[in-house]
Amino acid sequence: MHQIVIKNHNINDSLPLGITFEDQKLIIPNNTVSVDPIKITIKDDNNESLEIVVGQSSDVTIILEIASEELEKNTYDLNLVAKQNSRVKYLLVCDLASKDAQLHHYFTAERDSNLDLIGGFVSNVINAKMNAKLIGEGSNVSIRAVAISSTNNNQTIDIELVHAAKNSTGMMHNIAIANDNGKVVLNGVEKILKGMKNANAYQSLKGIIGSDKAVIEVNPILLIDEYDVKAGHGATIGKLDQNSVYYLMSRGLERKEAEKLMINGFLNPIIKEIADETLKERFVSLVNQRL
Amino acid sequence: MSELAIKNLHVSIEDKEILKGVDLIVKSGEVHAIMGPNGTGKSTLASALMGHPNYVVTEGEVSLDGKDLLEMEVDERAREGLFLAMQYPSEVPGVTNSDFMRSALKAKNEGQQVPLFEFIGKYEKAAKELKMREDLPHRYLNEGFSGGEKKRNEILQLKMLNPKFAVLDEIDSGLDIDALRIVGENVNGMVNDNFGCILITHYQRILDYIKPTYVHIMIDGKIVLTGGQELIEKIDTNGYEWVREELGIDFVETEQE
Repeated sequence: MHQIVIKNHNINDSLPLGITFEDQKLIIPNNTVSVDPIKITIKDDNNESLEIVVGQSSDVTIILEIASEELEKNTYDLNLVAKQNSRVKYLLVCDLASKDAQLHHYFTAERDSNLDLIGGFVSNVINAKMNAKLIGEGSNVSIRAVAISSTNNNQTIDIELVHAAKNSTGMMHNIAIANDNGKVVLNGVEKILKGMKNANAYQSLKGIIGSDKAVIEVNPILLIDEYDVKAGHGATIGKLDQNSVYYLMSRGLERKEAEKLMINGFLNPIIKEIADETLKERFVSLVNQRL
Repeated sequence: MSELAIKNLHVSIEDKEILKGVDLIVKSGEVHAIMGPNGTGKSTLASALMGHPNYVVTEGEVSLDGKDLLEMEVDERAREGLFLAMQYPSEVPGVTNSDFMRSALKAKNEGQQVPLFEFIGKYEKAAKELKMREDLPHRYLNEGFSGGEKKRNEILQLKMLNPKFAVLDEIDSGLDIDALRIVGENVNGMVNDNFGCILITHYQRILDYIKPTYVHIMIDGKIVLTGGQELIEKIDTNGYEWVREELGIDFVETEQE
């Protein structure tokens, strides 16, 4: 794994793969193919902006980890541009202790680019937005976001996909889980602009409530201004099936273990799609820290 | 040698009394068949023993080797050595059979994980004995399983966990003759000096494979008659009508809940 640490808007170590960093802009050159994930960590900077540019025809896996113990207001402004024909697998880990965090992450998908985006949100109080704009024909973006709130956590997550190109495909599968008195608001918005023929849009939102005090709100929204498209959506909220909990407990598992196993099962369709083992392990350990 | 003792057990569901004083003592090495018409409380007994939250014990005692089971949570009862093969096992999407079974074994071994290699060997052997599909470990727990597969999966779990006592709640219902034989032979093979079993059924066929030490007839929430295998034959030919006449008990057969 290639490690890049950004602290106080600076990178002290030498950069791998010919990557350059200047004016808060990290540029991955054209035709970079790396099987090894590139892990970018933003350390305790409570006001950070960063742009990542993935060069033409590059094929990379990126983990962006934003973790901070800082309790003050945190603002993050992030942007990823996937140039033509690039392929990006991306895991965003958002683990902020702040009582007032704002995170905006924009993604731009150029022609024929392929973005596989996963967001893991285990912050304290946050308003986070992942917004992907498909501006090139044949671009393909998949977003899978999981937000888990526990004691006193309040997370509002907006996932937005905007089709501004013909023949573009956008999918989102988002899951919200709330335990104890935790709260998650999950908004899924998918827009197809006028004239963007043959666009494909699909979204599913799911919520699991782990206790009587937990609050989950899911809002699936499709805004379509064109006829020649395919689109679908679905949203569900439910409690863990108590009969299944009983069933697992009858084999000796403690209630907590049984619930954990079931929630992991619920996330399994997202987890098993993560092809990269490093990403998968990081994601599983991230979501399990709150279960 | 272990002992499961049920004394004067009264159980209600939503304020309706279903069990009205059940007494039963099961020792290791014994098989107790509990038979009776539909709706007389047989499955209620099974669920109450395991501790299903919808079943409220209003009176009586249940102990396993002197320890009070009714004080325990469902999972504690299981770790104490009680197993319930359910009539309608849940389907749990996303949780594979092998992950589930490894977690259950870990819980049983006080948090000690069974070495993977040893686990696979044991699991494959048990799966083969129950004629399960080869991809079983990777399939989700009971999801999309046929009725017979679900029942065989219960027995597979029973074999892996190797409890002191098992309650088999209508493990034979809805099974075709091959599945019935596989289930019957596997359960019968488990009975030994360290394992005892309560077999709840209202059909006689399973008893061709598992020979009960005692046969009990349950009617209207009570065990009204206890005997040996001669009772099976009597039920087989005459149904339960004779119980009404011989013992002077009035009962109505109801649909299963």
